[in-house]
Amino acid sequence: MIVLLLLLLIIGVPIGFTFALAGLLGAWMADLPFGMIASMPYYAVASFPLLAIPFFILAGELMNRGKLIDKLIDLIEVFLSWLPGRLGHVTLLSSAFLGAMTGSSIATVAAMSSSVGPRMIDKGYKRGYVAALTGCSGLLGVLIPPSIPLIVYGAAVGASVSNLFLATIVPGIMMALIYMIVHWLSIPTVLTNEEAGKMERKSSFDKDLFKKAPLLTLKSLPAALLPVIILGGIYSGITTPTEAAAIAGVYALLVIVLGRLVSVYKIPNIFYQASLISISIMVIIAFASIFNRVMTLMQVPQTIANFTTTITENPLLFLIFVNLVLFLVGMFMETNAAVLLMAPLLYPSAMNFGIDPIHFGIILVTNIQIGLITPPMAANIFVSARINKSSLVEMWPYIVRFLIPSIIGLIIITYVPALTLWWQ
Amino acid sequence: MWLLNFYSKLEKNLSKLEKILVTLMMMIMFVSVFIQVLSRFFNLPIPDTSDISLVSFAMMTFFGTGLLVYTKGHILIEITSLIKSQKIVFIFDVLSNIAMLIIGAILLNIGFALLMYFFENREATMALRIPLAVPFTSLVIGLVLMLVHTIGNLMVLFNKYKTAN
Amino acid sequence: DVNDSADNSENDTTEASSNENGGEYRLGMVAAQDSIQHQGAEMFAERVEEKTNGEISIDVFPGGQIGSDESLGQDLGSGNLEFAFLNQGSLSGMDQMLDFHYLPYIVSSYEEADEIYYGDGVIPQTMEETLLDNNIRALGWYELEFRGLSNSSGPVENPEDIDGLQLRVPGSQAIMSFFEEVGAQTVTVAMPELYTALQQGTVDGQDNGLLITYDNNLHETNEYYTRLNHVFATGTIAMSEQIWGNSSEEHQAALEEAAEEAQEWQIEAQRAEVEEYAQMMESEGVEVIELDDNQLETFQEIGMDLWDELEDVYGSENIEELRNEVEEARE
Ligand code: NA
Ligand code: NA
Repeated sequence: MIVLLLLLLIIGVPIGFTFALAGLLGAWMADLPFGMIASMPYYAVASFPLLAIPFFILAGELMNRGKLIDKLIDLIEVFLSWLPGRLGHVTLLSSAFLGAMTGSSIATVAAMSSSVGPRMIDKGYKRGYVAALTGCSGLLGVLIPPSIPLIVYGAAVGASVSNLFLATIVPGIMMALIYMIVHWLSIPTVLTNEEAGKMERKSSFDKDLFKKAPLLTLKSLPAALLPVIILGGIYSGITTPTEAAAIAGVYALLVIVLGRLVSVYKIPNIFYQASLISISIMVIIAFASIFNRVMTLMQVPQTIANFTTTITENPLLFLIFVNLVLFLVGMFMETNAAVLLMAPLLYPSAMNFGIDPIHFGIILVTNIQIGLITPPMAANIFVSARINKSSLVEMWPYIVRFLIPSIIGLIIITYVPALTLWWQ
Repeated sequence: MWLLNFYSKLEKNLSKLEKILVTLMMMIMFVSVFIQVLSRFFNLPIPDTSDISLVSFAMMTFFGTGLLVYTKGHILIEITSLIKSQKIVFIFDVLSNIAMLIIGAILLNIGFALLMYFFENREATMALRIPLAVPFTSLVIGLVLMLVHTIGNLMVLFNKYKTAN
Repeated sequence: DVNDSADNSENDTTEASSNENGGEYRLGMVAAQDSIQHQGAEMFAERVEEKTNGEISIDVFPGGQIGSDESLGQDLGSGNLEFAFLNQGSLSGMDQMLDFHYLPYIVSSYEEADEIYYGDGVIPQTMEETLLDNNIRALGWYELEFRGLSNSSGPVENPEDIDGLQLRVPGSQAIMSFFEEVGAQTVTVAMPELYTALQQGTVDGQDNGLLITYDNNLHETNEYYTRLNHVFATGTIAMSEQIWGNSSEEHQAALEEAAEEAQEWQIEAQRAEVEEYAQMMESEGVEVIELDDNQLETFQEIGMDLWDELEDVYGSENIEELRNEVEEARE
């Protein structure tokens, strides 16, 4: 099954269908009824939280066509002109905040790639690096509250969600800092030697530039209001994250239509472009679900979890096994499905080993999140590659730069419980 | 040659239809979620429209399954971009298209059985009672379109290979 | 070869279902791992295995691992899944009769529930028949819990206390109408988004039972919980009718016995669990409010008045019959 999967991926079969066929083959070998997995694609897609994905993509497309993002970034650049590689840092921090708001890693990547991605490329960043950076930083937000996977964990094992949110703050900030360091170290190698790249690398205090600030602020006001609307909508309780994404779309539509930034006749085409990108992401989620379901029916994750819990009596060793198992599961399964499946399976033995339930939740979710940037099933990376018009091959060397520090971060989170339990 | 021309014309017209369908579904999703927010915020007596959003979300995805084969928009791992030999690239392309035909045919087969099931027992969504046969029809149509476009890709591939040699 | 593999799939299904000698079967359910429902299902599986000398073995998949109630129902109906602990109330998309038992205040105590929900009254009968119309056999029932009301604004003891609250309710028309009748504004929020919605004040309260409220940590943001008992519900120990029809008589008898034993154990354990949860919630600072008979009666009248409005959905005869049964049970 796994061999077939890799073969199909190599000859260039689309990822969603590769997983579907591997799943069907597994079902056939294990004598499972096909009818039971046939409705999976529908139920995998018909999910309200996932609706945020097309809406954020749409909002991003609209803002780009109306050149709204450009104005916002102009402003940020004025204030950050002293910081080399500023746009990369902006992307990282924006991802952390947007992820915090939406609670969805994939939606964050979709939103950032369609808004800031093109601008980073304009500023002289290599395409592969832009795609890797936006793809990887998508998981930062999930470590900053509120976070849907942590809510799912809390519900699955009965741990306090408020405490989980408190516990994740320090690890979240730590991971963001780690990523900023990676970006800082990458600056010499990822910027082109053309004019734009040189500018981005430079640190300067330009007084003339600051004189432009008031005018720029005014011009970027419509774009600057967008995060306020999304944040305000969610935190004031008027909207759920999905609805906030739709409102962001409506707002962007109104701004570009009323501001006559784009002709009304071009609007349907913007919807079309946004739908194409959304579909390419949803097809993977829809058809890979067949593979997930077959694995569950064959009790593969359950068996691995049982194995893990019987293999050792040392809590540290146990955590290493847990890390490895979750990493493997995260490589193949969607985040929330993985949390929902693995949390109840591993939780009882974690408790036997005397591990704090809150600490265990942060380990579990961080671990599965890292799976989102680990091939072959790396949803964040696929989304980013698609929207940034990059390819996995082009991105891979840069992904490794983020992946290895992420794993180091995970190890620190796992073996220094004080980072998560500081509030106790 | 005439067959190739005829087929590419057929595909082109089909893709236009698919384009309209996915754009329409995107717009319906967008409007129905926005109505939801408005009705909550202004306390309007509008029924819960999330069924519409979710069904059109699924339909957009399924119709698009075929369209993305035509626009080459599916996400895949482009290892072929590293390979220099034209011949190997051709073989990989042919094999991946054949794999797509097989997967499409299997999925179509079980998808069709499921559609018949939903026609028979008339199951519907809970709030607005939209028949589940609706999204599952779009799944079947999407998979048929996927097969049509994959065959088209294969025809183009072989034709290119023939003229290159 | 494309057709071959497709044909194989069909053969597989028929083969699996026509097996008179038993086999390896699966049971799906939405309730969480280690919940009383899950324990009940595991007990059912064990008993079946014992009684059939291991000829039927059942793997239990809790926590929605193999699908929501909706898709479990479809899989049972089409013969792709053998068993489920099925919340038929969530299958109103399959048939609207299946949430008949969600009418507000059919019963408000366990004594009444025992008569109305587990005997041979109109509720178990219509459930059995409707499920069978959809190729699902009810082997027995298991108990969910009475629904209650949690909220963040104050203790609810009378209908006036609900007036003006923004409440998250499930998709059931009956429950929605009940809360709107007492002046609440009802809102639909998906279960995974509910915690955030309560925390951020998108909604003031929600109406799940004690177990679901506590297990989803909803009490962290709602410090008042009223045991309103407005809806009581059971689930079905369900089996695919296709598999049932192909089973030997000995196996059928074994399945029914096992279901009966699991049902008896689960109901008792569930009721004990509910009381334990009420205490846990109080010890965590939630004010758990028990209504006295007078207060319950006020709510009950409002609830039962709504039944007539739902005649179109459930049929006037059914509602009439239920009314008679309820009056008899209350005497
Ligand atoms: Na978050
Ligand atoms: Na992965």
